[in-house]
Amino acid sequence: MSSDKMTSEIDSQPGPEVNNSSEDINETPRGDDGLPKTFDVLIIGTGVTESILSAAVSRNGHSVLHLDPREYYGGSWATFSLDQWMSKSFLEVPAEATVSDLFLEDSKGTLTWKNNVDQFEQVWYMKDEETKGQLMSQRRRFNIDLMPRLIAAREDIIQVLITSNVSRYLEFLKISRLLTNLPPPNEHLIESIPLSRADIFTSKSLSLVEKRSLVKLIEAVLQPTSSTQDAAQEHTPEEGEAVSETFEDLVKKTKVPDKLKHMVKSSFTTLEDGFSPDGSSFNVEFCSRCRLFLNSIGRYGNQTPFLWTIYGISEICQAFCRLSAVYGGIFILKRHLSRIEAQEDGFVFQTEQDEVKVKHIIVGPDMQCDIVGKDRSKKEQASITVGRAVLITKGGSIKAPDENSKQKGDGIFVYRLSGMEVIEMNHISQAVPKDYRLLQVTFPIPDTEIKQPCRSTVETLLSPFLLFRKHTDQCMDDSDETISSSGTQCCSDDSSTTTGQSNMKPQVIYGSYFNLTYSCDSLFSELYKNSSGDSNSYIMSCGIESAELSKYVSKAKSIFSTLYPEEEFLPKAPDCDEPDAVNGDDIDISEFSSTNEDPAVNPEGENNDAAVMNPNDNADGGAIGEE
Amino acid sequence: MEDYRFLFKVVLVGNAGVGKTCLVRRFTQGLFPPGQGATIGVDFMIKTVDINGEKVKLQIWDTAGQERFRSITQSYYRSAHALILVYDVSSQPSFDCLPDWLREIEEYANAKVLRVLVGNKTDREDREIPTYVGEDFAQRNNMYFMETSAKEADNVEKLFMEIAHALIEQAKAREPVPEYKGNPGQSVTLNHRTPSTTSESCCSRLL
Repeated sequence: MSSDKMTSEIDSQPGPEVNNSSEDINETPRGDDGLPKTFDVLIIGTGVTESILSAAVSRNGHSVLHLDPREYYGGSWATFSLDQWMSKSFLEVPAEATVSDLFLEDSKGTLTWKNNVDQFEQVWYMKDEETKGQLMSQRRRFNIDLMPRLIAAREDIIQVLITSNVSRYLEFLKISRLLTNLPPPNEHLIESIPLSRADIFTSKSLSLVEKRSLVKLIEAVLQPTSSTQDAAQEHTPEEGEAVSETFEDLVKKTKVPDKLKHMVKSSFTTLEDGFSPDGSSFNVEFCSRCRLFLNSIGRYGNQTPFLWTIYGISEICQAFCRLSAVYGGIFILKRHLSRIEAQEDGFVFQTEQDEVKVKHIIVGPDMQCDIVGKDRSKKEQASITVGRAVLITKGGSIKAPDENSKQKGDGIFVYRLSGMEVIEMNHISQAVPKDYRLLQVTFPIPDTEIKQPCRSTVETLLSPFLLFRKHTDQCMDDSDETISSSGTQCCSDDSSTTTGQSNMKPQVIYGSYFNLTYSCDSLFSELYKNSSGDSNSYIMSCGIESAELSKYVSKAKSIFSTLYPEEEFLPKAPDCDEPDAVNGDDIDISEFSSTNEDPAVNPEGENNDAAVMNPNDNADGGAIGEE
Repeated sequence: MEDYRFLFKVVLVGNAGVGKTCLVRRFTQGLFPPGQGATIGVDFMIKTVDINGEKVKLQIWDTAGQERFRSITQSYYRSAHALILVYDVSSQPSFDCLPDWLREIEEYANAKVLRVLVGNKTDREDREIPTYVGEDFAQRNNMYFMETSAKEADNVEKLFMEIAHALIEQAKAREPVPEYKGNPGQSVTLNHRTPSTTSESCCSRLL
């Protein structure tokens, strides 16, 4: 039975007293389309950093004008339906949005749109009209992320979502399994990574000796936190204490066998390490990541450390934009600017018929800012490129759960396969309709191959697990796409190595392949400082050369503290149904595991008083609808 | 302590200035804020109503001003059970934009969402859209129709009560076959309410 404590019949979620109340805005002079003539901050782009900043600035009562030249929210963090995806709208740059001219006091420049998706290629592996038609008739049930992200339950972003109360707009799914393939020569075998004490002791894939040394290793990794346990629980390790030993030291000390080492590394590794369990970068930082990982397990009663945003990562951007709008931020999509001019105490910019004055400008990572003038000749560009594949499959999961396994047999699975991260989703994720799976593949690309299409790499490495050709017309591909030699080769490998098993593999129906680049023009956020007024005004860039969500969050925090050093970053947006103020930093979690769970969004965190005191309890309710 | 049997998300859309916020405030708070400018600071409001002895919680969402430049986030429409499309009976332009709104709804909202067309501001003497025109439009587009005045509290209560009624009927009709049975206990909302005393010692956490 769901219960909800309410103080009154009527409950509202009003925004709080903001400085720029509606009257103030009404008094501001407006242009033809009702746009006020002045704002405190202009933000261009609706990616995750820009959206968080928009919310933070607006939340504290500063006026925000937030533009995006695209017709959708999210920038590189956008999520698409299948038809939008296939139309490749993210490759197109609105013509009028490509360049805007900068006129600064001591220099000139341009603000250019850059596209971070390259070498895009899409293939229908099953070309019959019936298959295509069935898929396309459900095109709106797809939510395909350009940049899919698993979020560790104790990652920064989760903390920000909770403390800011933006979490009320979002709902997440727990990732139910984490799997890896074994090191060569057994690379075609996939095993589940045991993540709980019970898993470890019931696992058949580990010997008793291995189990013991795994436990020892985990104890050793967690050791440094034990003295400062409370702090470590609530803070991410990055701000925590340094670990004296490297991962390799610990492995040696605890005598962990190679297979186990591979599994442990596979589970902790991220894109930044190249997902490579054999990488040599397993240092102190890696150990603190292990702790984040271990501490994330079970936070929401999950089997793995990871959460997935229902409807895609773009929801997070949109949630922060919503908060910004609730506090008065003005949003205009499909709008760019043509020129920016530095003036005393700020900038004036032109957007369509409007001329608007702002104090600060924040540009998203999709903007390249070239400023020519004194002291601005040297640029410190940095970038990393990852390979991506989006596959739609039929025929179940890559690795069906063991029959006697207690683990849940369905949901979202994460595989670490030969240096690739594969997120396999069924319909529960709301990313794909029933009977299909969506595979989001991400892997590092060495600098030398940035300009190479990545299709053949993916096909080769995943062919032990997926059927890329229809069984009957295996090597008779008549697509206009060129088939690389390795692609063809993988067909034959396919039939020889796994004879008799190929029927069991999921069939790939559709695939798209591309390279995604994360780059920044400057290692610092500040692109330009205008010191002509009483106080400095800035043009700041959100660009970073990283794929890690937590770095985008810290970028937002650091830009905010440059602009508003005295102010609190995203203080909690109040609720009215909360008689007692939350005391300080104490934050905990709720776990919703009612039996009639409906993954429909529960934006407010309903039933928030229901038995969340103890994360071990299965809190009641949480579902919209009947209890 | 309050029990409720149903919770429904209702979202409002329509041009700026047609009175969406006033409808919500009138229904949830019984007020008509005079001379209100563009919406700032309204996220969503909740009211629990009693329908034939069953408690129904309505969570009513406002656009937060994002409709002004047609930049409503897609997530606004997510999981809405009912959608109220509002125009101003004294404003032809607000009526002329309805097809645009319908396109947006088709694109983003769930196909099964309950759709209601509302002509607001019937208290105005300078009416431009006769009732039958609105009715006709609603019928052609398979929507419920009602005319309201948030100022005079005319039909506002009725509007939301009828929506609650219709949603209950819908939910009951669907009950034997729940939509997403899926994996119980998988969906998570983050939460901040509870002071943490026992953040360690999770059953499923490793060690």
